[in-house]
Amino acid sequence: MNRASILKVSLSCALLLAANGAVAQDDLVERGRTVYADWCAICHAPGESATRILEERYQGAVPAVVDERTNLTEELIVARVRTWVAPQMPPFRQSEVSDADLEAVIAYLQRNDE
Amino acid sequence: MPLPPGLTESDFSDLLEEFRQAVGSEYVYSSDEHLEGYRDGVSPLYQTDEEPVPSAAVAPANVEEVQQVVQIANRYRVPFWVNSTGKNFGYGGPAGVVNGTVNLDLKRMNRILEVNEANAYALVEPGVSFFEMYRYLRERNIKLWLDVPSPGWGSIIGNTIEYGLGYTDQGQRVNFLCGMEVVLPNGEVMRTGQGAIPDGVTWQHYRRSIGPRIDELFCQTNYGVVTKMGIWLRPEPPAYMACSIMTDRNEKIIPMIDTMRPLRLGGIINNNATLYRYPFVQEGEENPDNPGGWNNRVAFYGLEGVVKQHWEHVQDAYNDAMPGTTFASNLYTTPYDLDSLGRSPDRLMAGIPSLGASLHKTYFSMALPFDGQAAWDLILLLDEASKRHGRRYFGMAHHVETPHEMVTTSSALLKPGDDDYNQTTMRMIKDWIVSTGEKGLGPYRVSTPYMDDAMAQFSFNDHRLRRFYEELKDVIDPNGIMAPGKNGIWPRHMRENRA
Ligand SMILES: Cc1cc2nc3c(=O)[nH]c(=O)nc-3n(C[C@H](O)[C@H](O)[C@H](O)COP(=O)(O)OP(=O)(O)OC[C@H]3O[C@@H](n4cnc5c(N)ncnc54)[C@H](O)[C@@H]3O)c2cc1C
Ligand code: HEC
Repeated sequence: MNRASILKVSLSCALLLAANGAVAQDDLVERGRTVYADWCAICHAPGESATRILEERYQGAVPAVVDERTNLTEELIVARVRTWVAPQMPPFRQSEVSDADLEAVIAYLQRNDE
Repeated sequence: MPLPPGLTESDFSDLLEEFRQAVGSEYVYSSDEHLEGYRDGVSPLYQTDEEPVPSAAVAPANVEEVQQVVQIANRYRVPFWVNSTGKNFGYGGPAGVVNGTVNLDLKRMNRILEVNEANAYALVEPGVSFFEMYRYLRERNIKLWLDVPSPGWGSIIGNTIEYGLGYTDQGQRVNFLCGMEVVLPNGEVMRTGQGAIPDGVTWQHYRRSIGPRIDELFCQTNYGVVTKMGIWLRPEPPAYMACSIMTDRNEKIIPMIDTMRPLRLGGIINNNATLYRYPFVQEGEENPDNPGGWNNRVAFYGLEGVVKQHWEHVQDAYNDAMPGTTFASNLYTTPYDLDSLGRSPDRLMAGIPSLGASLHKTYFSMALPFDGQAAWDLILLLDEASKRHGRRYFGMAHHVETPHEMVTTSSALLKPGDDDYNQTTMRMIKDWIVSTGEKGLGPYRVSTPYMDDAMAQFSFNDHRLRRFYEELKDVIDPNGIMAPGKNGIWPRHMRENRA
């Protein structure tokens, strides 16, 4: 699935949400929470390597722990998870974080967005 | 992405179709986006003309699917590279040596098939990471400890068969490997040791069959895809003590190592006791002439009284040989509250996996005699070699894996996107390899861009060892498809590729 189709999936998710209420979205967020715990927290939990780098970068302007952020766009998350944006965060393969997992992690990271 | 060598577009699309039929279309990847994770973004070759880029990746779910994929690869004469978890950063990451290689990704094969607490062993598939195994043991309150390398996301199989090292008393982990299942490059499955007895009950207990033990033929080579491996664990010790022995001068590494030698040989110190620069000096951060010294991390496992007595004896030995040495220690006893270790460096010697990797480095690691002067001479030699390239050497770590040798891991910084800088780094590492070879020293493990240079050092009697490896390669893998170029071992039809 390419980036455009991931966006399409989330769009159709949004439509589904309108029809099915918040249940599907809650499930997705919960799945995203698990994906995050399995694959992201080793670097992004409080005090871990990525958090320390982001703390330094943002100096408190936004939370250094990424799952406390409320301004992460889908594009930014997809780019981080699928490409070598920075050498300290290698991209994840489908066999690790599938496109469906990625969609869930996006929902999780955006759960508190305005 | 490139085509596999020798294939047309239409062959390639037939190949992908066959892979899809074998493993399901969801698990065959060929788009640029999906293949990005199979490239080594921290390689000095990344995004240069020389980067070996994969043509496709296939992720089988079980041994039968691995066999089918290997059989298909044989029919198309397509080279494939194997990853268990593909986190081999610093040594080549998930990528192979040859452009257009298909990546065989075993992450989906992540079952822990057996843990035997009484006999302290496990049987695992390649996708099982150190994190997953650790979690499995803790969640079930199984009182076994596992030796781990510093990044916990790697594979027990991938790391162990690369001769990866951990920091406990099982730190040279390959010595605790017991029994393998391997898909040979022709697609047949073989079990080694007692596993060759149908339903053999001693597979993870006894390491041989009759005849030679061949498990290490599948370590650091390209002779077969390991699909199962037995690994011995250690029972939780009643007490664990994590200790530091610290000196204030770089050159004190000489007495430090020589003082340790009889303690390690005599069985007082039993873990992979590692010496790190202290305070930790890192390329790009500090001056290498900084007078900082060394921190030797040592661990004791056993009865509390014995552990304490050993540590006292060790301190006496260092105080006698090196007055002014400083010491620190933490004692842990059962019932352990392992979570209380937090991010403490004591985790590693208790086999608790973590991550905190700095990835933008390329590695070159040597085998050395267990001798202080040898370690010091190596530091001076590598520094001289580095200066020829306008750099300095930042000694990294000396690992006293066994009582008889040390492994020295060295790394050099890479700057993503800065080709000139990275090319210099590569030339410098090749210089390290040749300069140490001239002194009779050989590498233990190197990254993919330097594998030919490393193997070329083992040149006794006109490279008889390499020719032997390649004679075996031609017999075991007649089509020469598995991981060509791995550690400088090439199949017949690609030997002209040798750098
Ligand atoms: C900061 C940092 C710290 C590190 N610390 C350590 C350390 O303490 N100890 C250590 O040992 N390493 C260390 N490394 C090196 C490396 O990251 C680890 O060794 C890592 O475990 C290797 O990746 P992996 O386990 O995913 O193996 P993989 O990438 O899956 O495999 C490594 C190689 O083994 C071969 N292979 C893998 N699976 C199979 C199979 N099933 N059949 C046949 N061949 C196979 C392939 O050639 C593959 O390229 C470190 C690296 C970095 C960057
Ligand atoms: C190996 C450690 C590591 C892992 C595992 C990891 N990351 Fe990261 N991540 C980093 C680092 C380091 C950065 C900051 C890098 C930089 O920009 O220099 C980062 C940055 C990010 C950013 C961008 C933050 C910003 O403000 O720019 C996002 C979003 C992100 N990670 C999401 C994830 C997700 C989702 C996962 C799990 C699927 C994950 N990361 C797993 C190390 C990691």
